[in-house]
Amino acid sequence: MKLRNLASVGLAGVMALSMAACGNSSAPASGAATSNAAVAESGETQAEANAKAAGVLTANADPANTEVTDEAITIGLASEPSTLFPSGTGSTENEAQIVYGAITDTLVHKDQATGKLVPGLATEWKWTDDTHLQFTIRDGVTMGDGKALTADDVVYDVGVWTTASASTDTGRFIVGATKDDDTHVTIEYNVKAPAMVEMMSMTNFGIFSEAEVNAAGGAEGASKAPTFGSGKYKFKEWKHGEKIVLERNDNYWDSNWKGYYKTINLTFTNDAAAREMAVESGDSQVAYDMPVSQAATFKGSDAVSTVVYTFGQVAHLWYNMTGDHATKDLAMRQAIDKALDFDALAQVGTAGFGTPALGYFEDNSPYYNQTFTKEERAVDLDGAKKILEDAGIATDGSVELDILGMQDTAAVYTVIQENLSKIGIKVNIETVDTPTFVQDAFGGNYDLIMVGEYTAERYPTLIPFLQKATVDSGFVIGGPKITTPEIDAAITKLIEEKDTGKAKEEAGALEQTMKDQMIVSNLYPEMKAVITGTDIKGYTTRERGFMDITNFYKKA
Amino acid sequence: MLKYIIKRILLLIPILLGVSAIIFALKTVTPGDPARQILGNDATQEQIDAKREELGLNDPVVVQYVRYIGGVVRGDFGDSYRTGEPVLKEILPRLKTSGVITLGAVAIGAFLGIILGILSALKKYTWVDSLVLVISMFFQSVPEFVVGLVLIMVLAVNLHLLPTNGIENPLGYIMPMLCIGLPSIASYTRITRSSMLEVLGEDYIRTARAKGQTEHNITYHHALRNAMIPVAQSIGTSLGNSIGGGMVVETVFGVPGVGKYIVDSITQRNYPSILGGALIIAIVLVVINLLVDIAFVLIDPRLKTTIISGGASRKKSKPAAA
Repeated sequence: MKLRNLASVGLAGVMALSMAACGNSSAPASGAATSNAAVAESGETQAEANAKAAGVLTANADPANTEVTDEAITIGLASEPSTLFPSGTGSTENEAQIVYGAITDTLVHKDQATGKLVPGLATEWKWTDDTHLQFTIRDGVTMGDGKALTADDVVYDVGVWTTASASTDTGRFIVGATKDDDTHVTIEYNVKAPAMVEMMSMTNFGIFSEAEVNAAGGAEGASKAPTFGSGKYKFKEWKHGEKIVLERNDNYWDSNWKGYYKTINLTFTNDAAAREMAVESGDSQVAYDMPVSQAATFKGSDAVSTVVYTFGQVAHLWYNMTGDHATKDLAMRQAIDKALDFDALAQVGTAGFGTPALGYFEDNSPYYNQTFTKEERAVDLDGAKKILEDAGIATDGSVELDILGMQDTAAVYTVIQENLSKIGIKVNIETVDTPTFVQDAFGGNYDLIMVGEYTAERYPTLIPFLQKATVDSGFVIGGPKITTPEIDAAITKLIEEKDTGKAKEEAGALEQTMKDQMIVSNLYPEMKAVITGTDIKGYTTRERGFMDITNFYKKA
Repeated sequence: MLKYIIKRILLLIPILLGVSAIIFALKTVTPGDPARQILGNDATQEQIDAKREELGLNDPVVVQYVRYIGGVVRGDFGDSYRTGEPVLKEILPRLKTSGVITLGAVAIGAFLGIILGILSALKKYTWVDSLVLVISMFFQSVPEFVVGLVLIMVLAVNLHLLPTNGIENPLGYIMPMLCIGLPSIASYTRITRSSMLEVLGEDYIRTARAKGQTEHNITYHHALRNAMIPVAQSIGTSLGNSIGGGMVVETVFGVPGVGKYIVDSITQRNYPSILGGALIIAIVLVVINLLVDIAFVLIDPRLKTTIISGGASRKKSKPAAA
């Protein structure tokens, strides 16, 4: 324990020294860039490096397990899924995807530690043109019913995705699939997006066979008892309201993977404190989805381990730029951005692990650009007031702004409220639950709204609030945002770009436009937190930071 | 007697209609579009409009309510937006779980409350009386979720005696029972104490003392039996109230009961489940109260006489006694 503290202090010291060294350079902005580059090189975000320095564990950091046992692990989830066949029922629930990701396997895997794509149920893949991707199906994969995976199964699955999940990201970018021969399938997309390959590694693209689904009673039956798939674990039992039980698939095709636990029990406890105490008592080994601020209080605890990590999402503060909203005025937006205390916001939003976001993308994303310098993120109340006065905007508290948010981020809004009160702008905070937030947000009767976006990859949904298609469809959180043909074209180009280096440049140019027009203020990297038993290792994630429940093991 | 029972059953109809109307009205004023809830955020406006039409959400509220009540009468409380399963099918097993916890909670609360009440009455105006008052008021004052978390910390985390959550292990029922039962100690203590004090002052107790009965005999054979009537009535009422009162407790302990079902449904804006859950709890509550009342009429001859004579016997007997 003492050794760990000592190491933490040492690391923190090294970090402080390195930051101080950066600060001595002639250009402080480049100092920050150096720091970020170093972080990106290590595969960590700045926030994760901070967490490590503070003695907290991060995800995807442990070596793979090598031992197989008959032991069971219990994992506490916050809520119970409504279906275990999300892609067959059009669901996008996090809990459903966590289970589904264990019982099905995808064509492509993504190594979350390196960010690289590796073969899954497909051994190879290649673009035959901009919208057609051909997969070579792996031989020797045994499905849940004991039969071999075939190209027909994949074609069937694509059909299910495009019908059952037509309105979600699972199906809406896919036109269909054709079987080229017994081992090759080509999937056709309706968008040009190189990142579609990576998207195929997401849990909702899990592969199953038609015979298995029919044997399970069709989509309806399979959603309750998904006795299908070729994933690392098999579905065993779902006691509604109590638990879901999975058992290790000893026929899993990848002999390199070793599942330490024979049985996985997933329980459902809404209360985060109760989930944590279950770990402390030994009743469960993992408490998922803990508030970061709560999990941070267990830092250094001897009873439990704290895992804190970023997941590719940056919290953004969007301005409503339409109608007669006060935030339609560029001067107002610029003044707000100058008055915000980004350090305080990052402190509150990430429990002290994160630092202010200096770009729209997360700092270890291949498309990250440092659009703001650290100086630009410093509070400048005089500058903010001057902008308002020059624009003839009152600073006597008569200007009121409404901010809409969810209850779990109320503390962040309070910081914004306090910041803006210093330049004479009154902020009314309305915090609601998720369904009400979504409902109210579509109405757009708000001036400020905080919504995070996944920025680790260039999916077709990238920067949706400024894409013409989403703006026109009305699916814009916080009401209609402003966009221009130039911005829309820039986003499309960014999504379609095949070269990563060029994409980074294009992302930088787009961000500069967003900065000049002050369309959005980048706040901080969003973080997830988990509590585990002190003897538990192997916390790994899937896309968007979802927990991968298949790789846990005990310390030797 | 039969006339009384039929009359009480008929009275349930306006009560349940009133409850259902209030709950239904709340649904209509709560923000959140059920169609969007079902279809998700990615649904187009056309899909949402079609779903609203399919669910009859575009009809006047009164039409929707009458349609809903018509379904309820046939045992159809609607289908859960989240799972597509009939609400009744989802609630019934949870009702059993909540019922077991309620019974246990009431038993714990009543047992401890009666003991403390007797103690308090026997040691009235002493430090023991004051201590009992403080203990019982303490449990009544502390919120259930705080009691729950403290119990978990002590009994599960530190002593490892009980599981922290879930009811897979039957021991998992104990902490939720304690959590719901402990706050009710105060009311049982107060009722027992006042009832005991009242009975202990009766003439027949004085007579028993004069005849040389031991204090133990007087307390437990003569006084307690009669003092228990209001306590037993209170227990009956608590049974009904507690079954819907476990929302926070079931959430903290991850118990798959009706309370947790309703809490989950509220956060998901799952209106059929909220409506169904609340209405079923209301039905259970009024039915339990009815059964308790009937049971007491059968048990207590004085009540039976009063009811059969339509309340006239007592009025008539008073002048006669005078």
